[in-house]
Amino acid sequence: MRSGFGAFRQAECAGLREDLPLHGLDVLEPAEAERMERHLRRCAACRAEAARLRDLGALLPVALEPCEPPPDVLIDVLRRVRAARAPGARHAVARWLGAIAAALVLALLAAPRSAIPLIWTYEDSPDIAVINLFAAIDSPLSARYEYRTEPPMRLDQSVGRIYFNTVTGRWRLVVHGLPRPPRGSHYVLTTESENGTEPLGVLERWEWGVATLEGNAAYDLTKTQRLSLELVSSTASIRLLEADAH
Amino acid sequence: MATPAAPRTSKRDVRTLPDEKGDLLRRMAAGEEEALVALYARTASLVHAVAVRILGNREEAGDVTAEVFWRLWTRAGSFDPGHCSALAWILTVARRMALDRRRSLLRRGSAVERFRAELEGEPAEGGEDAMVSRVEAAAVLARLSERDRSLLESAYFEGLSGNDIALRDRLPLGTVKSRMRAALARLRLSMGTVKR
Repeated sequence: MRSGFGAFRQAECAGLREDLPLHGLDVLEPAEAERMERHLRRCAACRAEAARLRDLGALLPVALEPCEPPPDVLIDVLRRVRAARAPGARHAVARWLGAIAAALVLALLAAPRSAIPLIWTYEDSPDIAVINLFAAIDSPLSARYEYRTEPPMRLDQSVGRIYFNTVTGRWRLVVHGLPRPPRGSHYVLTTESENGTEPLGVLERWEWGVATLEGNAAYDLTKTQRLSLELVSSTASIRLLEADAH
Repeated sequence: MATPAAPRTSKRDVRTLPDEKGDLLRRMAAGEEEALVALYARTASLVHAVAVRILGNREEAGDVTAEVFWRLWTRAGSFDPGHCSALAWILTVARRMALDRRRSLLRRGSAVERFRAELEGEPAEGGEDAMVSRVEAAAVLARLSERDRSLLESAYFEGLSGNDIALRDRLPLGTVKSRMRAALARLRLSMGTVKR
């Protein structure tokens, strides 16, 4: 014989089961939804059915044409994540990069120590500082080359430069010969300074094999100790270029 | 003693979409940024599509997408795999936040027309898994009648409750609810047919 509580539960299930599909669609009125939630907390059978219905409801958005968000969205999120962390933010980045499945690292060692970090030369105008990101194979500098991606990408001719206007603070990163990122991936420029690590932006403009990224004076580039360009893909991030202040 | 039946899973149902078991969410809850980046790479195009569909405005949708991933980062620990799949949970968060933003914009009276703005630019691709599943999901939905589909979409993307739809369509609430239940039952049936 069914216990009094069991009979009550059965009656409650029967009374609410009709509304379970509506709960899965999130369209119950607040009072109805609250009653349903209370029931689901104590009824495993209805909870399992509700889970199946919620997955069914997810078909509606899944059927939508995927739509890539603006490239700055990921950067905004990462900025907030890092800003919310304790001062040990650098370690978080180290962990992130520690999970790299493939890596291409260009270690640039030749720059002499100077008041301005990184490798600065002045070209075109005394107001424009140029940070050179050297090519891997052709570079006379010491370079470490590890490269495992599928399908393979040739990056040995890549040359990048940052044009930094010391008056306005605006800068522009130009990378030559870098292939377009695979679907679902993007290139992220990151800097490290005494204040921690900060993503500066995503390379998003491609013209004739040249990728550019423009930034403003919101970030003081002269305080940068390390600059890196990473390919952030669906499963890993890949550090492509790295320039250290010496 | 009978053991409860395990939830039916299929290699091709919605649970096979990105982060089907919530592994990335668990790693995010542990503070791993790379898990956040990986989850973003796999689901951002879908989350953004939901936001664009609900808001009809890419700029607002971009803001909401960023807010969604921030919330996923801060609330990843509250994901309960027994409640629904990780993707369904992520999309529920996205939908609720987009609907909240939509209501907020409507309250501010910031031009309903903005919600109807045409989508701009080319749609981007999701991961291969998502694309296959999207085709299947679209096939499942295509088997519904226009009325059923419209009913479900009104509820999901416009955030209309049964009462709202009853008022809009001048139908008794009971009729709206029974139509929704029937539409979902047909959706489930259609899903079984497509998966066979």
